[in-house]
Amino acid sequence: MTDAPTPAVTSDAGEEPIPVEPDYLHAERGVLSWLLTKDHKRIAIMYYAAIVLSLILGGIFALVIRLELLTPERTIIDATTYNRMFTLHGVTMVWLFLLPGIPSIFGNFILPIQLGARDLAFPRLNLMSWYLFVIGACLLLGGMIAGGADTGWTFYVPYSSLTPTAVTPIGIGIFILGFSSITTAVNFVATTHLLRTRGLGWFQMPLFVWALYATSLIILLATPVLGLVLILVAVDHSLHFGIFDPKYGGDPVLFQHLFWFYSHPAVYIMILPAMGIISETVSTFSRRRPFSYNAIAYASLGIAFIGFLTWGHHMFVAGMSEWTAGVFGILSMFVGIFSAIKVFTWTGTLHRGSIRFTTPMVFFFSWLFLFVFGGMTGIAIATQSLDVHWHDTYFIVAHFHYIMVGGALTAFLGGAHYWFPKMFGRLYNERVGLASATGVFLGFVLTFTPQFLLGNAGMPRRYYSYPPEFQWLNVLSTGGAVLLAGALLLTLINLLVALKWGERAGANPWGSRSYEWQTPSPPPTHNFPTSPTFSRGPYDYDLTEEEARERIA
Amino acid sequence: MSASPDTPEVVDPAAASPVAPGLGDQYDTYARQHRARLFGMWVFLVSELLIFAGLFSLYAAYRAEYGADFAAGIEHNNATYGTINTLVLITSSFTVAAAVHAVRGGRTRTAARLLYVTIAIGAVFLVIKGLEYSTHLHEGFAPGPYYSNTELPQFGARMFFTLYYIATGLHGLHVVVGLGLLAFVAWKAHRLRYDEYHHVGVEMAGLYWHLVDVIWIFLWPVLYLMG
Amino acid sequence: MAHAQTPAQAPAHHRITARTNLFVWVALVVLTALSYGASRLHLGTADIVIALVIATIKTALVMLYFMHVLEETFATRAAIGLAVLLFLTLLLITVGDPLTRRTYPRAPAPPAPAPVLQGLGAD
Repeated sequence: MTDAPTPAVTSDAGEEPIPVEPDYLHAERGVLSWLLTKDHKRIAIMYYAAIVLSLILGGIFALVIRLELLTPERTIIDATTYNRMFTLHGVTMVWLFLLPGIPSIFGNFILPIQLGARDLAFPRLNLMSWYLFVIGACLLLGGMIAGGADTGWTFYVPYSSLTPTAVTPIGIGIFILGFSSITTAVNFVATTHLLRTRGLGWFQMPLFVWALYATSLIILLATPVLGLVLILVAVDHSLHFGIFDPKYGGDPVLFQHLFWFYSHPAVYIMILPAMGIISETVSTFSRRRPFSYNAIAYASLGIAFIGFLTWGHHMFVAGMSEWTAGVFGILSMFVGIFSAIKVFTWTGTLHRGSIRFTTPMVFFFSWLFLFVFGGMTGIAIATQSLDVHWHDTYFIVAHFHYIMVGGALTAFLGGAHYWFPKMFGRLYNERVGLASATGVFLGFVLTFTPQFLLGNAGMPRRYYSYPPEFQWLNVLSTGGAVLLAGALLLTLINLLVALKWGERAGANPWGSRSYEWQTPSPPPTHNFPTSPTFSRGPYDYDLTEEEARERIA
Repeated sequence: MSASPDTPEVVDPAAASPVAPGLGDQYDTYARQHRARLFGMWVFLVSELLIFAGLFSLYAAYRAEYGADFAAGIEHNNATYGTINTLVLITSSFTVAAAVHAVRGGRTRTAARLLYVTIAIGAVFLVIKGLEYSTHLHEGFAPGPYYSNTELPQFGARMFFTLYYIATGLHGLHVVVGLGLLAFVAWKAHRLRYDEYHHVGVEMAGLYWHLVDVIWIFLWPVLYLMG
Repeated sequence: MAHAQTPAQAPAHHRITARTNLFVWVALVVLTALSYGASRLHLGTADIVIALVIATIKTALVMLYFMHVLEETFATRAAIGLAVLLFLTLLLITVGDPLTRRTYPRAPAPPAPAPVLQGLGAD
């Protein structure tokens, strides 16, 4: 409980009050004040550093893959190394970037502020989440240095039990990362239920909170099954229990059931927070309330729920019964409905809005195109008979990269730019931002559109060599990858430069009505000078400036 | 103690208690902190439940694949050991529930004693489990390539025993963790760091222990009775 | 959100007494004995149903009384319900796969077709 500080002093022009507390970045000094912090904002920054490094590592693996695929035969590495490259690319991107990315950085930083709370429900548990992440990441890195794995990120049995590579330490590392995820989810759920400030009902919360809440539900219910399946693979690999080995009576398809029971909802863990960012940026940069708040809130829960019922669509050709495959095919179609509801709602939000083409908004439009495209190819693949042709080809690779990169990464970058002023109190260079956002979009399209064509023409995924007639598409794709890498590098440099030399930002440079913008940038340690009462919604753009300000006590 | 600036000065008996732990900055009252911690524990338990969901699903699938061969393995399992262990765990659940009841009424010393009893009973469970494992291993019932029993050579029986070891092993791990949690709160209770207002640690450890019991309540028939 | 007199204890906590706990324990022991006894009768498929039904009742008792779910909030109960629902989903669909697989016996191999290059001499 904080002592009530003296009321903030306002300047003559009635602009943002001068904060009386130092901001969270300067409240305490010294390395230990960071490593032992309980402040959710500092923990978010520590996650930021670790996760950006992970993204760079995953990107390096990707570039090695793309460079190798420039020629039909060997280009720079041999086949066994190639297998490790695509495995480690997948493992790094999935578990060190996509899954933790938005929740652990922006969720940690923004969620308590958007609820008017002074911190998450369990700050020390939050710090433990970060340490678990670091330990898991170190185990993964150790495994990579010890030769990595060559099973693909999906660790299919029986090969993952037999391969002499570092499957066990990598499996244990992922297990620990799962724990990090689960503890974060426990924190988010408890905070949303119990730490909403006065005046904030469930249907008044910003939609980013709804997105994180739905995500947390998935994390809590799906990740444990991954934990189990990793234990089983580790036990099979090290102790040869043979739980999935046909030599001892095991059934490899059952591994896939358990693996995909987690890994399909996992992709919703990756995309739901991204959709949350989209909800925030669309509203702010069109100065409109969402076309239907309830539609997005309920659709988030709908995606979370239906997402659990569709895992078998990864196994259409694995050897499951046709009956089961049919059931999954039908259920997989349903999940598209909720995504479609959201896409129409966001588009409807733009209508009659006052749209500003800032960098986050460019990321939004990029996102809209890429997510819809990727999502529709997803519906196509969910058709069992079509998947027989496309499964394990580059068509699938292109589909999920459209969603993961075109969806999750694009939204991540949008959020990074949108909340940059709030997190660091500085503005990035808008021109460079626009250029880098455009570069990311163009680089992405050039990288992955050829892959749809490659997959449809029959090029299998995870293949080291290919027939010469596929080379021109591969060269295009690699060219795109280089452009994408350059644009991402430009984005990183832009933001890093702005950290030190960016123009100072006020509390609300975007003129947003959402709650996190009603407190100084960067926020003080306890987020708000005094515990606020929220007497209006986060998207009330129809109120005047004074009314909007008054209703945040 | 300080009160929130928006409400009149009231005396919160929880705040006045000599064993009050620190109140987190994000909480206005001890009641809210208590509720949050209990809710957080429940949310975590829900997660733990799903780990075993995968195991039970694996059991069901292999049983469907192997039919009578699989059931033959269950028949050969020692239902006596299993049943005794079930009664042991149920009783430990009772004693920890009694400990929570005691500490809610402010009888912290009684709670400490009950917690020690719970730990002892939990240890008995592990000892019986160990005895059981050694009996099985003597008979050649081991997982994977180490299986050497000649009476039941079929794949179905072998898969059953592999699953048996994994399921009871994972459960046993949770028993050990539960005993650790119980020891921690038992020690705090022994040092009288709880009272009728502040005891959520005991409740949280109790909830975890009950989960361990609930999992066994389902593991027992599935591994010992449904032959 | 400070309340005037809200210690960690609220009236609802007194619904579950020491006697209640004792009765629940006795009930659990009796149900365990019942389950064991029923399994010795070897009733075939009914074995599975009886065992799981009794296990469910025991779990309900432990949760409602020992774990105080009777006093808990809607949110907690909803969380439990959700977990059970997903547990059942994973179980039923996964077990449905091997139960509905059809394996066909291999058909005899068809006779080899005549060689294409018949007219070009040599074998």
